[in-house]
Amino acid sequence: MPSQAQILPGTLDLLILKAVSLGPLHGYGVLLRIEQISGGALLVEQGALYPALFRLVRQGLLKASWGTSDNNRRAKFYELTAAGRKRLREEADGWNRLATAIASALNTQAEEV
Amino acid sequence: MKLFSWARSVVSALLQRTRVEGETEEELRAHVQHRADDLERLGMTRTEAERRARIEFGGHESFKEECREALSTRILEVFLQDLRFSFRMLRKSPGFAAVAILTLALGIGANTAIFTLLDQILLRSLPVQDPQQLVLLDLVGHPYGNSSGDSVLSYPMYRDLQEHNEVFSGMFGHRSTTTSLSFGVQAERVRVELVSGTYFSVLGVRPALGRALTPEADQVPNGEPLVVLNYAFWKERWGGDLGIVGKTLLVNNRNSTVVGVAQAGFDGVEADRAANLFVPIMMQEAFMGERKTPLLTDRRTRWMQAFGRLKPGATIEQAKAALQPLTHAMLEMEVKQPAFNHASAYDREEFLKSWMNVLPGSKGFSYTRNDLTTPLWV
Repeated sequence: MPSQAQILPGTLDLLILKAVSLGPLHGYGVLLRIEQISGGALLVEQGALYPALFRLVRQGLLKASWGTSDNNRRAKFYELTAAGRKRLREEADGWNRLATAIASALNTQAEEV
Repeated sequence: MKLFSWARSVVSALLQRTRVEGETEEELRAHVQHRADDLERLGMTRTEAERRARIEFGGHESFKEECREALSTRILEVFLQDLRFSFRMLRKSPGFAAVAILTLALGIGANTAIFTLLDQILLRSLPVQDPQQLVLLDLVGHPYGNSSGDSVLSYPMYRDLQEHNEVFSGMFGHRSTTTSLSFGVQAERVRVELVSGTYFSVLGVRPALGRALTPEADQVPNGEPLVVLNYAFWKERWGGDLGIVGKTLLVNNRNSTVVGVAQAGFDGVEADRAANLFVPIMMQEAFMGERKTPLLTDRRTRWMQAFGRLKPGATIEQAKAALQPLTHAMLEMEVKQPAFNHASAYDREEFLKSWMNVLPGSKGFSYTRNDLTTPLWV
């Protein structure tokens, strides 16, 4: 198992949007999904998750509704709105460009300059 | 219509707030339970799993506060949006806006006016010491002679009650009327309260300046013409002149000496008629006219009200019970007087059936109170 990393500031929203885009999830489910899709490399602090979820609902990127979980418990489920889907695409593109740029910068060899 | 929807959104925002707070609480609890389920699957006992889950979750309260902040800013945002929107809509239809605003203004104004009256006549207690101890005596039954006013007694009866009762720590009598007042080149009609010398001390109203009337003022009929000024009246007419005490005013065409100014805020014991001046009741002849039998000795004319201050701990019911024998003895004595020589048996019989009622006096007396009570509350 790779060592776990704290999430970079500003990337939590992106990860939540991604996690929820794969299907409606309740809060704890979001945590598990992020851990799962990052191969266990990213660790979200439990308490930090909810203010982020609230913020995204407030911005109209997520919508919430009450349902029943697999454990047969009442829980609030989050899913993407159209605006959320659009935002996820933009952020993902932005992140990929940045990541490519940094990767290419870090891979530069002395003779290429 | 816009105003209505605006009001509705404010209410729903407030309701939503409590609802959402409850939901947040529930959501966080669900999270901990889910985590505990997983931990249990890993082999922990339920209790241990729940404990671990709670610890892992960490500063529960602190970030609930964060959620609350997020929510309240949201409510505020919605509120401001609605406010801006309704304002724009109102600007678009100025006629409707004017009518709405006018309606509100008139509605608020009318309610304020009614409440002011209600407060003044029905709710406010007199600004005196322990007003709840004050009672007004009300002789119920057939008088034999003249009566002028509500809850009035003859002056001799008041003095008898004052001397012989055992339920009051003190009593005072009063009668209000209007008179003329001249000072300098000005003259005006003013409201004057004729008061017994015990008036200020029994009420516990102190002089703001100079002195109040004292029981000595009850000694000599038509004695020294003294006057105590109402505080607000003194401020208004004399600009709060500190040299007023000892000056002479022409009250009812008679030179009267100002002995003092009453406590600020005290307007007499009549809730709807503020007294400008207070003069000794001994001066009544000058204000109410001469009669063949002076009112101060006439038992057949009832014209002044008598208030009592209950002794500490005494109740109105106790006072009522204690006053009946005294009242009846007075009636028995009166009915034997020459004034009843020509009275019929029926008159005497009815007269003797009179009894002394004791009314709460904490709010003073008001001629309009009985008439206005129902319409004001409704």
